[in-house]
Amino acid sequence: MPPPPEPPALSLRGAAKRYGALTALAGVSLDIAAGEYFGLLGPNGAGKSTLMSLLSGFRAPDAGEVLVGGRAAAEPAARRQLGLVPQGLALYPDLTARENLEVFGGLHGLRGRRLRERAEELLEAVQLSHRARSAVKTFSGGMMRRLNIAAALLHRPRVLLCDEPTVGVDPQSRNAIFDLLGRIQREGTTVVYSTHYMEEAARLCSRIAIIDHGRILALGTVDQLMQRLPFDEEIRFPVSAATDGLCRDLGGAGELSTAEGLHRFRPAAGFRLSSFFLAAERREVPSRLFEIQRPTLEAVFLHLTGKALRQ
Amino acid sequence: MLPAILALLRKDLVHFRRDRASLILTFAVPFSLIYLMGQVNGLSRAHGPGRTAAASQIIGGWAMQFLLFALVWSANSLFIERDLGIFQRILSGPVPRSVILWSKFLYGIFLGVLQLLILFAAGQLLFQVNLLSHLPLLALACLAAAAACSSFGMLLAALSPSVEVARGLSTFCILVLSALGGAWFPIAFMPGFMQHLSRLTLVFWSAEGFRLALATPSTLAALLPGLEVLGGMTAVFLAVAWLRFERGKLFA
Repeated sequence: MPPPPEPPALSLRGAAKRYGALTALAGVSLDIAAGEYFGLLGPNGAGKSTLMSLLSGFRAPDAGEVLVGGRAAAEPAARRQLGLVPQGLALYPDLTARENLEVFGGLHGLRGRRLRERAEELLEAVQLSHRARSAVKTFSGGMMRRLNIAAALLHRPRVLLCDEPTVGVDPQSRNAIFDLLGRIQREGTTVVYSTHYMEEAARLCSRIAIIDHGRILALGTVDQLMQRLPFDEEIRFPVSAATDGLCRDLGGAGELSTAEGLHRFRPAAGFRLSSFFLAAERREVPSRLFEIQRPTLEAVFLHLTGKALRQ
Repeated sequence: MLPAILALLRKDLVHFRRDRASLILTFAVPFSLIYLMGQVNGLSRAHGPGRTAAASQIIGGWAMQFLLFALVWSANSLFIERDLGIFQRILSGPVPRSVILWSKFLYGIFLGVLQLLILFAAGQLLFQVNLLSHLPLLALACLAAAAACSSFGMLLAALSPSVEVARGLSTFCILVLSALGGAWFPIAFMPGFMQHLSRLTLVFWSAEGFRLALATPSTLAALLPGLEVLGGMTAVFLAVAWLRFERGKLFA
């Protein structure tokens, strides 16, 4: 008889959460497989942190259920499988890096030599061994972020929940964080990574859920999400008096949006690019202003919601 | 649960040891005030059995007021830890909310006993009053007073919606309790109805505990009723704080 199938690492079944009149999550259902690198992509206030707080068992859903390895997230046995990297720097600023790790390890029942060795191992992994005895308040933002992750790994969790772990860090620290998380995931840990940076989600995650207003709008691999777009390319050009007329001429020929000083035109099916350039030539808009790009996850978000990801 | 409580308790102790402001406010400031009040009241010139009672009144009263401040500030640090996201990290682990309550409570007891005993020892040195010969009973009275003050700090933190409210409320409560409980002057100076009200405060019962522990002769039997009242107050404060921890907004 074949063994019973392994339950998903994480499951949400109609999970809903409200804060007063605000619906933070509106009945989300989702399965995340063991070993997956899963991305939650959405703007600030989309419901990502609420979703993380339900997955971590910190908050209970108002409706629906949240399971970790088949167990209710609120059960201690389920929470032992989780490591949470909160969005804030959840560290004691006056304690040293090592003392912080020893406190959080102690909360998971680690003690003595085992705790000290694990703390050293993680300080090494996040390249902070040389600052182990320094107070955290003397660290740079990137160093604190790295320690914030190390503090979630002390008990070797099977699932690591990272809530925007790279906010405000320098590129070097960001790459160090990506390398560390990639290594952890390759060792078999399920990583759930929430971000509002589409580049991070596209680079790191094998599957992504796009979330807004507490709902999952789309779910799949980057390629699957791109296939939802009714166009294969996007033409970007700057906002200026010269291009305003061109925008008027393009009415009905595709999707046009404007954000951060750029127009983004996504041609409708059947629309020929040559028609675009003819229209530009009629308006005497120089072709050097145009940039043709393969659409990004941001275009998917824009297509699904009608607004830019960072709005 | 115990290893988790001990891990958090150790963190608070390390933090306290490093925080110069806390050390000054917990020991140096009350020490200076006790010295000053002792001089004002002519304690070093006093003689006879009244001297020990006066020392108990001055040292115990002022020490209690500063103990309340220290422990309420410690409880208010819960808001800072919450805002840093530390509660979210702690509670995503396999521990109940109450570990945070118990660790702060135990820290408060440790700090309180330490502060009270150090201030009584300082009082002995300053005023040549034999206080520490009553050490076992005095330590017991300090333990009961520290437990009541620590649980009171937890109660105020659990009832307050924000750190600003907690600070305002605690300052008001501490000053009222200190005045009413006889920390500033003996309650015999107060009108009759206020003397009755005084008996409702933990400051009164703590000061009473110190007085009885330092009396000659001092007996456990004489001390017990006061300890029971303080124990009852501790239990009620902690029960309400625990309920608020489970259902209130501190973790929202």
